Amino acid sequence: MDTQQKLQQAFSDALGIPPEKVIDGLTYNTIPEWDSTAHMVLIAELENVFDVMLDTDDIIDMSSVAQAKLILQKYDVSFA
Amino acid sequence: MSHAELMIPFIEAHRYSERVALMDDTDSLTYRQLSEAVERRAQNWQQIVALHRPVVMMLIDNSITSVVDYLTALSLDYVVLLLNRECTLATREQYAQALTPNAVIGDGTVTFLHNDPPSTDARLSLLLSTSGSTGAGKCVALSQRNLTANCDAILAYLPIVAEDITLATLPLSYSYGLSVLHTHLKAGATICFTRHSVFDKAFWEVIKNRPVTSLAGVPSFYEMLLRLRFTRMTLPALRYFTQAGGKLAEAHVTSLAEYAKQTDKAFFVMYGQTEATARMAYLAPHKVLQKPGAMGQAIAGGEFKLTGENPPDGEGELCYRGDNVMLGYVEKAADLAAFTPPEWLATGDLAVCDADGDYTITGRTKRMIKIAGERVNLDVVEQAFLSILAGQNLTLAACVIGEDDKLIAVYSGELSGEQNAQLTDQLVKTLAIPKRNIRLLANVTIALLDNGKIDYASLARQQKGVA
Repeated sequence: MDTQQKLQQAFSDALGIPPEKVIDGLTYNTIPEWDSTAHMVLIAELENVFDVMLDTDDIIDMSSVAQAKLILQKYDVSFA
Repeated sequence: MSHAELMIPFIEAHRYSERVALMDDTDSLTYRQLSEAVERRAQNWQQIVALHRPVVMMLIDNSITSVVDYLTALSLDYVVLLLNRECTLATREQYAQALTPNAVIGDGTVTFLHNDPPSTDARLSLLLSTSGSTGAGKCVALSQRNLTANCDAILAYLPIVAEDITLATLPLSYSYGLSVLHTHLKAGATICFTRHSVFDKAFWEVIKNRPVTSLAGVPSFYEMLLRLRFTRMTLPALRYFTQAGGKLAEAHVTSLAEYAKQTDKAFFVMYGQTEATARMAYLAPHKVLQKPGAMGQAIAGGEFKLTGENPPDGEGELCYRGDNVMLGYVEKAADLAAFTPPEWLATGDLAVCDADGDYTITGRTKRMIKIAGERVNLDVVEQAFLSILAGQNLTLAACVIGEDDKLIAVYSGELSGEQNAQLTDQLVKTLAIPKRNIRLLANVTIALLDNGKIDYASLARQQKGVA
């Protein structure tokens, strides 16, 4: 699985939505599945999958799939 | 009644104070302005509702106008059924049918329904739902005496002062959230609301800029804070924080207690139930590191006992006595007429008591779990699951087990992935429980006890670590 697929799978698992719905434009609090509780599950999932420890500001800024990619790149996760 | 005589609960001592009582993201109201707003609203409502002590259904959220609604209704001695504004239309309709309210109130507006005088016990003041926003569960009936007694007992141990600014993140329709409102109003402190969640930058700006001096939350709130590295934050104005509404994992309790110790704050672990207005016990903050699983001792004026104790550890059902014990339960309008309050409230929780007199919750007598802080009766869920299976003509042995935040529907045999997805979707719809809290488990042997009942205990042991 490449990093893009891993990211999609992590979002899909944490939010309980099909992987094909995980697109760059998907944004926090715009679908019922991505509420604050799901956000916490998502952060835990991303930290596990990519073996990183996110800072408070990064957790708060991670408000879309596109944003998640940008932030994870700061932690040396690269998306081709 | 002229408005000058209107007694407003909780705020009488400082009703003309210029201190800020309520604040949201854009507005604020001083105690004097709050009193005036209540007086005006009371005059308006009296034009619309001529009845003495009408039963009203009140839909509230965490807003200034909802607090004005609530205090107005209490001042006018209405019997108030308090519901979360976010509850479903179906839930409202169920309560409307069961309790036949005279009016519905929300957002400062009264919608008059009928003029039939309700028959209500003279002590009855407030009805709180036991099921949060999921479905129309039975209500807990509380008196003004219950509210006052619990408010005073909480003020006797929490260090609330008039200079405080608390952030009310718990819904006001929930007994714990309501207790935060009552105590801070009584102390003349400031209650702050925000529409932002902990994962919004604006939430932390509110915390730092007001600045917020205390926080109150259920386990999921603290799990989020810890995920956000709360224990690494510098929050000099924050003096103390409280946790109740279920058991927070001991590791989390310890992290929070260590943070409190290092930063000279106090962390209160507390225990309560809507049936006891809100609060029954708290653990002295200096004991939290030493006893991270305990919930402490009864509040002032309250008393615990254990019944049906089992040696050797002395575990028994926790019972509580005090002026904050409810009048009783209400399921239909006829129940409002008269109450026989229980002297001892059987909490349904199992507990042990240590040599210092501190109590620790060890389990529950009923098949009940909490999902996102809201009670879920596993027997009710099981009935729903069985009827969903029957509706799809699936003849399988099935039952429901679970632990907090995890509902496990198990069945014998095997179903397709598509069938599983359908079952989950139907459970989500029927029960209003988030999908992430539901697991389906196939190929489970459902063993029975000698009396023919399902052996839930052995099922739970089997599934531990599997799901």
